[in-house]
Amino acid sequence: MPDEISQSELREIVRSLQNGSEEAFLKLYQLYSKPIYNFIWRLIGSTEDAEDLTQDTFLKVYHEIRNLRDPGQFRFWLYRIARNEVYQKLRRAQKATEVSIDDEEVSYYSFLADNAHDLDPERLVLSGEINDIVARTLRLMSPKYRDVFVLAVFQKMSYEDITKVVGRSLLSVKTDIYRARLMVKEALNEYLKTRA
Amino acid sequence: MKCRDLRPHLSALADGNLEAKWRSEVERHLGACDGCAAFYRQQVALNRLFQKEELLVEPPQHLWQGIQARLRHPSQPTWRERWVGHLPALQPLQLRYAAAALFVVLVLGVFLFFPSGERDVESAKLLAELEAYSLEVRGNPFLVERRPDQNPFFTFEQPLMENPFGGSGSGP
Repeated sequence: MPDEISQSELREIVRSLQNGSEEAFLKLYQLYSKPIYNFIWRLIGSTEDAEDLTQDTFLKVYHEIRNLRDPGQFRFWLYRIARNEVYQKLRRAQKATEVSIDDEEVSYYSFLADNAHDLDPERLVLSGEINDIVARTLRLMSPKYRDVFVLAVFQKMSYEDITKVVGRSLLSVKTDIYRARLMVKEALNEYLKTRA
Repeated sequence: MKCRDLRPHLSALADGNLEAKWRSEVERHLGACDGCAAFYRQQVALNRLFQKEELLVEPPQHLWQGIQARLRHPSQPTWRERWVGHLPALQPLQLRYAAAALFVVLVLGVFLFFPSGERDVESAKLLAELEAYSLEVRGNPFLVERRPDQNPFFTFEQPLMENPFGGSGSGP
């Protein structure tokens, strides 16, 4: 949640919007448009689509806010709408790429041997290249890995909160974030090897 | 606990999400295992990298205006939204199955509704008529008067061609 607002303030704003306040809608947009836009952009990898889907998300919020029973759940509800919009879009465009990662896959466990040559991303130049690598890796991930990774790492959302957004168990979320991390780390290792 | 089993907990620790019940065991393992310690450090470093504020993209200014415009003037659904939007989304594999099934149905339909035997008989009849007509014309180039029903290309109302040698009879 954005730092500059408390949970009780958020409840008030949501209630105001439920009562039809346009000002409350603008306030919520100001609070959440940036994280939601970035969340969507990371999931879909296109700024144009991210713009459209961010608009669609907030429009859906506006039209359906009255159906939200507990204003305290607004943030999870908002992220869930955004996530659903993304996957509907991906399904429509038939872009959804399912990469199955089986527990028994050799590449998966060979990576666990951790032969990494001290990856130290802090020393990497923070450039578009890394962003591109991460974006490519995210596109290759199964959606169930992609969204929890983006929520945990880029959005700094707690695992408990992520379970509320994606509707899965804590154990499942934890495992999927770890697997997504491995994929990202492997991609960055490859990048470092090619640079070396 | 083996390294393989412990790594998801290390990932959670890097995210600040490790449950209290695992903390002491994970910390003990980290102190004893260089590989896991390196893995943990890398995850923390990755988090620092990806959580830099400059990596967050500002949504464009026109986004809010777009939302307001769409609230004021909700657009009519496009034909695609109106028709295709209600259909269940098909995955590529399902589409392939559907296309294959459609092809089979079409092929079966052609052979069931148009048996090849009937088609052959019809063709043979037509060919025989054409042949007879052709022979008749070739055999008598000056007289084209025929029974109209023998000429599939002429109608009853069509006037007969005049005989260039005069008379009306059975030719030279």
